[in-house]
Amino acid sequence: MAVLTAPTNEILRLQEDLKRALKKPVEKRHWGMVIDMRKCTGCHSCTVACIAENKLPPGVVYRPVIDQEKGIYPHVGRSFLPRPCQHCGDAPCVRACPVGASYKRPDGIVGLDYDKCVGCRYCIAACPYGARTFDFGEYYTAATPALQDYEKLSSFEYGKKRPRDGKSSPVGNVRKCTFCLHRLDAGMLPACVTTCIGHATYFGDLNDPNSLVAELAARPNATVLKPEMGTKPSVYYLI
Amino acid sequence: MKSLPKLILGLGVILGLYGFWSFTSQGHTGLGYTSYVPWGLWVVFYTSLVGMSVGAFLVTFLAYGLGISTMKPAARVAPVISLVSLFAGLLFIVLDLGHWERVFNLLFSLNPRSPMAYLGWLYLLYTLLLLFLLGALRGGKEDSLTRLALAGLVISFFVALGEGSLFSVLRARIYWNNGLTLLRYLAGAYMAGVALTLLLASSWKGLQDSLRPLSRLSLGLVLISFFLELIDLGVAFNSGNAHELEAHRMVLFGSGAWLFWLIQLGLGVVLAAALLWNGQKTGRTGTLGLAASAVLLGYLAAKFNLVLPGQQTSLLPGLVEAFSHPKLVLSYAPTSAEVLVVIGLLSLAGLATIYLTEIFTTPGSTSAVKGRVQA
Repeated sequence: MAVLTAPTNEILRLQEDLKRALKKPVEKRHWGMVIDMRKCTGCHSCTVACIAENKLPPGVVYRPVIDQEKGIYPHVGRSFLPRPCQHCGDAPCVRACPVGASYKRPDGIVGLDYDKCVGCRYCIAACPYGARTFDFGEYYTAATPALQDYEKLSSFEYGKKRPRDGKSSPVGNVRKCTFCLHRLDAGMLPACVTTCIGHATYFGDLNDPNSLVAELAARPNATVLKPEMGTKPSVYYLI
Repeated sequence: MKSLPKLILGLGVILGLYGFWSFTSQGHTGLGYTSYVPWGLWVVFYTSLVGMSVGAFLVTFLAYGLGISTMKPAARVAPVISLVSLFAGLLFIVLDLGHWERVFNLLFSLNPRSPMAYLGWLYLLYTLLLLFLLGALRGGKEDSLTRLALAGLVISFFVALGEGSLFSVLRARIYWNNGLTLLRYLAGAYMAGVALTLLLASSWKGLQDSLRPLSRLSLGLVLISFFLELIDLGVAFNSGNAHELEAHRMVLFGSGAWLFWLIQLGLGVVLAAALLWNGQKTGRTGTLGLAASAVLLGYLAAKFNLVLPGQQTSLLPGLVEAFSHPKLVLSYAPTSAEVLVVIGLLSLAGLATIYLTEIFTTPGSTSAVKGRVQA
């Protein structure tokens, strides 16, 4: 039974870590994520949960899972790399945005002001991880006799209700993973963390030495994507 | 000028209006760019036209800033070319914005760390300068022209520097991220602006005195531009950087290699240089007009080969395959709406250039300046 309860306890610990972090002033936290690639099964449930949580339209994806095959038969291997926004410490997208719509929050999250964004897509060109996508204003049921009501439901990103009407923001904007900021504000873990069937995704305050993410991110097998870019990502991978 | 070119350009404008209607009815889904290739045909033309605007200003500077008298006939229309090219380029980028109604954020809500943030004010400053310069030209105020030409050289240089920086500072895009990109942009801009002035001068009565110096200048700039391209290729192929090599291989040997070999190199360098060499000796307007057209086509091809391949290499292996959607691919093909809007805006720019050139070359319009030129 110990094998079955251990992962559950990890989620509970993450939840406790989150509660503790939320009691701190925002500038004292540093939200971070650790993804254990050895545990990821490539089920894409995080991708789907993210789409459902953020009501993402066609063509907008915050957390694709990259399927990697290595080696030559018979010595082959396969691994999966979920790729959310890396919430870089020195974010090239924040630097590139001409109008300051992309910004860095004191808690480390890279946010985007939909009402300021002009849709120039310079931040997409600047991101080394391809973590930003453009909202072209598409609907899943556009080619059907009637647009379904669920497609017009409000997204709660950044804690603001935004019904989808086909023209106003975030249509015409660049979009990206927010670490489910609206859920964090409500004391909940990001959707990709709670939905992960392999318990491969961890989330918490990297500034808290007692948090599970801080412990995991300090392990020798923890790495970041493209370290040569010097972007100081807040997402770590256990390999 | 005869009415046939105006008629053709008028038809082009109508086609453009149809393209614009098609674009507004479909929105950005009707454009060919994707989330992984976020800049397409309109950005190519935006950056090309702004470059031409800056390049044409070189002629204005040589005539009024340095007082080279043989450049003065062409310098009567060079500011017109600068102004029209700049406006056309800016129209392309405004249309390309996801929220064009927020375009003034680019002036009043600036992020000082972004090179793009400075461009809005530089464009405004440059536009005002060009308007003052055209006013001074119309009023024949030679002293003002000299001062404006000197100030304009600096401002236009910074415009070009800002444009080139948009690409060269992006460390995520190895293909762009080097100082040579900036130099190539500057050289290409001056080459194209001078060629556009040469094209107009070769087809307009009263401007032919400037043909020979313009053709020599154009030839020099074509060779400098080509030299910088060669250096860039040499550096890339010796760097061993896989991402950079992938983009360069795409340009040289990919499905669009004809654009490099036939248009950029064949027309834009080999044929253009041969025609310019011949034309600067004979002074034939037809030869020089063809040469200028070849330079411009080569320049546009070079801009395609700068803007698109820089985006068409995968940032993370397997990312494109990770999630399937037509807007999450690395391929890019312009849609009919994009092409028609390009035809329309270029035709509109052509018409504006013709009408403004007529105004600025009409006898008496710039009497004082012309008087000094003839003297």
